[in-house]
Amino acid sequence: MLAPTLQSQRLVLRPMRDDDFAAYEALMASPRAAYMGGPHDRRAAWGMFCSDVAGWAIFGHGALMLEHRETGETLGQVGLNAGPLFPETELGWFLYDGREGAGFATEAAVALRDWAFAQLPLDSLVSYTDAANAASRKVAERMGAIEDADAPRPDPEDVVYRHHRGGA
Amino acid sequence: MIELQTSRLTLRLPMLADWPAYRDFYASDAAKHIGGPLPAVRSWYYFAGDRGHWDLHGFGWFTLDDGRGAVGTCGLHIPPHHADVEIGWNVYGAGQGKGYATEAARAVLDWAPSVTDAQRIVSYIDRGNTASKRVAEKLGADFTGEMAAHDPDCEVWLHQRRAA
Repeated sequence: MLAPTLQSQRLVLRPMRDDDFAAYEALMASPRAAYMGGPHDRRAAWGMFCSDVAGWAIFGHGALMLEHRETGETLGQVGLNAGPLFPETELGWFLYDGREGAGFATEAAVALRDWAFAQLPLDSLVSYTDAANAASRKVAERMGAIEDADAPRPDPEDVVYRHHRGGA
Repeated sequence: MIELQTSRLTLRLPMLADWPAYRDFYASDAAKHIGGPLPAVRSWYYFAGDRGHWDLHGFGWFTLDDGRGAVGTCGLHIPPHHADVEIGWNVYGAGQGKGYATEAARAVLDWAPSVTDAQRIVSYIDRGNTASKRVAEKLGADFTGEMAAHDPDCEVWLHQRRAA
């Protein structure tokens, strides 16, 4: 399927575009990408970027960029990730530098979670977070996700949060 | 849905069923001229990325299907680290030596003017990849004498322009 456009209170969640790559690449090259298996060089970042786009065509779900409704600024990304590297369908998010602390990640992740449970035959979703990534763990907790100690995970160091259909 | 047909091959968009053959190819020594061998955690991003490129640019890599499944890939792409639109080709072990790469690349070059107005279409070929250089020669491409800006081991081969 084609990537949808979703709305939340302050955000438009829109399909990725070629001109999103510069900011994406800069984030993936930065020390903050350590929470996402990085830092990643340009070739690796391009592969990740195109893979994020491809989710919609391959799996029927994938990534969307967060755009501020009023300013039009692109703030980050939220995505439903799958594939042979993920034990389960994952809900992930990131914000660009300086955009944390305003609740944008939570707002976007809630919108995409709700879309997923309305559109996909899933009973739950997981979020893989780095144990040291306090900000991201707080997003999962604010969404009502519960830590799942038994869930398989791509990296043994990850903390896994589980989002259940119908809340909590 | 974009699909090209040659005498022996169907060129179609990549789908999930093509992944195992792609993964195995990239994990093998046969991928040594294209940055391999690579573990699945790396080659997955190339595989899915090949599909995503279509949505970003309207062109990308096709899966080559001989009627029984994936035998290779061929397509056009323009990653940000490349100076020009590139046509590339990879044929997996069992399909090699049959002229599949040349057959597929001819179809892609004929199709190219309908999806890109790029003035130059090149192939970046590792200097040790004699099989791929032979394909480029058969296609009528010429070695420019230059090495790729993004990879000093890759020769830049320039393809002849096709009419739009």
